[in-house]
Parts: sequence; structure tokens; C-alpha cells
Amino acid sequence: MGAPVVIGVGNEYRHDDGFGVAVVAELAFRAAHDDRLAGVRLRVNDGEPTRMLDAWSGAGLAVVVDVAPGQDGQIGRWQEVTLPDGLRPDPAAASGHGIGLNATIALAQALDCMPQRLVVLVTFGGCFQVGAGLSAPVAAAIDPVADRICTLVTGS
Amino acid sequence: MSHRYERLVHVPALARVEGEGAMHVRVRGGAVEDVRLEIYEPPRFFEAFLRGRRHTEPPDITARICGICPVAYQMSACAAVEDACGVTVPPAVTALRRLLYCGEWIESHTLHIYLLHAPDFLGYGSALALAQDRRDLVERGLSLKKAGNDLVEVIGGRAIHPINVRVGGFYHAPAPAAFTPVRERLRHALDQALETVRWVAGFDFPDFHHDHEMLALTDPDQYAIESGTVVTTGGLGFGAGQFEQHVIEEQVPHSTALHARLAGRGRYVTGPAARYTLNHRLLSPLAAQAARDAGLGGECRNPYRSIVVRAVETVYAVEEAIRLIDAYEPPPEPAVAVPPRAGVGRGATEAPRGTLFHRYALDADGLITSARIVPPTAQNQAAIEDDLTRFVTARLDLGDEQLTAACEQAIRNYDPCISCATHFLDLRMDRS
Repeated sequence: MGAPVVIGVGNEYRHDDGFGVAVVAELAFRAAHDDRLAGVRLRVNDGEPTRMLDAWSGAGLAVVVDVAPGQDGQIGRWQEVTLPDGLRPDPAAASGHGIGLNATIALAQALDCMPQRLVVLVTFGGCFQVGAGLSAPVAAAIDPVADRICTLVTGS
Repeated sequence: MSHRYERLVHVPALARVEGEGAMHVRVRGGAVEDVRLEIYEPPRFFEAFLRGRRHTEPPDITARICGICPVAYQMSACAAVEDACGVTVPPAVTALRRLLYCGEWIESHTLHIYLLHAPDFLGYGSALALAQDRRDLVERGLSLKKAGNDLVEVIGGRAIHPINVRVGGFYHAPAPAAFTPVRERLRHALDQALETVRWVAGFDFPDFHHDHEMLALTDPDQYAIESGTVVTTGGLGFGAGQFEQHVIEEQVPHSTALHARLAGRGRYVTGPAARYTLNHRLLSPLAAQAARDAGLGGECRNPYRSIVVRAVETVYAVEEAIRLIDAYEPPPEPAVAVPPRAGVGRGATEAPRGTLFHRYALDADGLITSARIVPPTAQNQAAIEDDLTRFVTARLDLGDEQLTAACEQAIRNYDPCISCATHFLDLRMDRS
């Protein structure tokens, strides 16, 4: 079983879309003094499917940190989903950058390159225009999501 | 069908195109009245975002425009800023840039061939369906693509949005030994790339040819990638400094992306088929032989056969990468200083999808006062619309579903990166 991998998906120049990248940066900072993160591979990715497969192939645990558009009142909240049980793959979603996580998982299953366990932590964002910096509620989710990842990798 | 008074076909997403956009086809009385490639999102946010930034920042910022071709944005940005500052980088830095760019060509072309375009020719609705039936093919594609990923990671610091590129060169020059594993992978990838050419050359290609003027960079000594002079099949030739005199961008009502045309001439195309047509004599002997064996002549005007050109260019990029690695000696300094000065600089390189132009105006402190980015997909929009008009006219007997799928494939011939031009694509057909 390979080392755990944490994959932050997103683009830090698209405001809240940069959440996954920010969480990976936080984990890289914590790794210097938190033994739970020893040996954990930290990756950033734009969600392109073949790079996702590369990143998690062979891992015992893969944690994907992503952001989804949310409604008023949802922004900054986050959810944990264990896949593939918690998500129904949708092959029709197949399209380049736009290929969704569902289709990426379906492709990974077809090619036998799923990690042993895949957990997705999805935070709801509200601003995806061009520009740097997370909105305040999304930025506030960095610490609790990073805390949860530290717990997940400890139990892996 | 044509006997109906009116009908509207709506497809919520155009699959397997990088990013998203919209296409609208209107048919009246059995004739194609209007074809529009519609783009909704204001495309120039990045240009506005760059204003007021330091002259050292465009390579990192523009890399985020596209996850598939970040190196292209970095290379054109560096070329333009260095032009503005009057700096020329040494040959060793240029060679390392070309090597990095080869990695991106391998990644991007292989992604398009295997995951986006080949399913069209083989009758599969997606790469997933292809993988379920022919896992061996998709695995070959992923393995070939990984050679590109690894090359970009060794030089760029990471495979996605490389962090080692800077104006003037690189932050760090890899040690020669760092290339040993990737060279071994590339050696194997060369066989896979040649197999890919043979595979795609056997596809059935619709009999369709365009008459667009074709535009690409050219270099007298090598297949142009990271630099060159702009040439066209119509006989034009000019440097990046004259790009804006010859390439006119104009607003069209249905799109927030600007359409490009050659001044006094009209629409044109850029991309692999244009590069091949204008530069095939500069391919390596192995890539040139692969092209001949695949049936490519001296020019490629059938957009469906662009998949063959991409495969040939992948062979070239793999072989060129091996050559550059074998000749590699780390530059004495990974970067040269690029002190700011007031001025305007322009740069153009060959992104996987075609010529990518950047222009930056700087003040004396090096702050960007204006920026302009002309991506290949925006340049090709008018030609894609023209192709579709002729293509649909010849296929009006098809049902909506078949015709929609055929239009999608016709668009995919150009490997449009709508993420670069703008975003969002769905397809609507309106017949009456």
C-alpha cells in the first residue's frame, strides 16, 4: 500500500477555486512540525483526469480537496464524501478540463488505478472570477479541512 | 428534419473540448443560414488582471489561464517581457525552454488524441467507453502522456502550472542526472508515439478540405516551437513585433471572445496542420518518415486529419526531447537579469493548439500598463464557423442527434481550448 496522497484541486487565480491549493499549502507548512503528515505526498492539480490518475494511482489513501459552487448560506461549509460509494459516476460528463471527478473515477476504475480509499472534501465557494485570494468564509475553512486531513492520514 | 417547419436541438455541453463554450447552427429552408461559435464569458479578465503587476509576474499569472498549455503562456510571456526590456537569453536557456515545451506538446497532443479525439473516429461516446473496450489503447496513451508530464515536472518543478519558469530563464537548472529516468521513459515513448501515428493513420477521414490561409511560426533551422517568424501559406512573413499590424481582432455580436483575421485578407487558421504545412521540411527524418507512411502530403487541409499531424508532432517532440537531453549542459546561470525599463514588448510561440501572441507595455518601474493576449483558439474561431457552415450544408439529411455529434467532432478537429479563449460551450441547432 502506497503512501497517502492529498490532492488540492483548483486554480489560485480564480478566487475560491484556489481553496484546494491553499489547503495543500497549509499542510506543507504543518508538515514541518506535525508528525502525522510525515510521508504524506502533497499535490496540486487542475483536475485534468490523467494527472489525477497519476497522482493517486498506488496510494492507500487519496484525499481530494476541491471546491464547488454554493448557494447563499452554504459558502465556506464543507462536506466529506468517501468514493466511489458516495458518488455515482457519470460517463456522460467526459470532457477535457471539464471532465468531472465522477468521470475521472470511472476512468480510474476501468483502468484499475483507483487508490485503495478515496475521500473527497468539498467546500462550497461563491466567487470564481479571475483574481487572487479566497473569500473570507472559504478561507476560514482551510484550518478545519486541514485538521480533518491530518486525522484521515493518521488512520490510514 | 428538413420537412419540419421548425425545430431546435439543444445539447447542454459540448463534450471533450477543453473548457466550455457554445455553438449555434440555424437552418432555414434547407440551407444553413447562420453558424456562430458563441462565447459568453468576458475573455480579457486576465489582461486586466495583469495591469499594475510587476514585469516579472506574467509567466506565473498567465500560466493559470490554461491547465493544459501553461508552458505556452509562460514562454510567450517571457518572450514578450524580455523583448520589452531588451534582453536576449543565452542559447542554453533557450534550449531548456524548448525541452520544457516539448514536454507540454507531448502531454497536450496525447491528451487530445487519446481522450478527446480518437473516440470520435472509433464510434465511442467518450474515452471512458473506449477504455472499457480497449483498455490497452488508453493505457498506451496515458503512458505516452506521462513521459510529457515527467519532463515538465523535472524542468518546471511540477507537472501542472510549472513554478520554475521566470523572466530571463529559470530559477534552477536541473542537474543532468535528473533527466536520466525521464530519458528512459522517452525512449519507450518514442515507440508508443510511432505506434500512435500508425494507429490514427488507419482511421476513416471524411472527405473535407478547407481553403483557409494558414499561419504558423517558422525557423530556418528547426521545427518552430519556442520562437520564430510568423509566416502564412499566402506568402506573408513578419516578426512578432508586427503581429498586431497583420492580425486584426474585432468584436462580433455573438461572442465575447474577439475574432481574428489577417488585415486585408480575412480568416485564417493556426495550429498543428498549419505548422505541418508550413514547416514539414524541418521535421526530423523519423517524424517526416512517419508522416509519409501515414499518408500526409506536403500540406494538410483536411481538419479531420489533424489527429495524424498531432501524432507526427508527438513523435517529433519526443525525439527532440531526447536530443536536447543528450546535449544538455546546465547553463552557467539559470537566468539572466531582466532589469525593467519603459517600453513595449511582443512575443509569440507555438502552443500545442497554434501561435500564441503576448504583448506587454511597461512603465519605467516595470509595472505593466497594458497587456494583450491572442490565443490560438480565438484566432481559429472564424475558420471553425466557416468549416461548420460547409460541413452542415452537406449533411442536412442527418438527424439532429447525428448532426450534432458530427458538428462536435468537426469542432474538436481544432482542439479548441475555450478555457484559453474564454469559457463555456454548449451546442444548439435551430432548423426551420
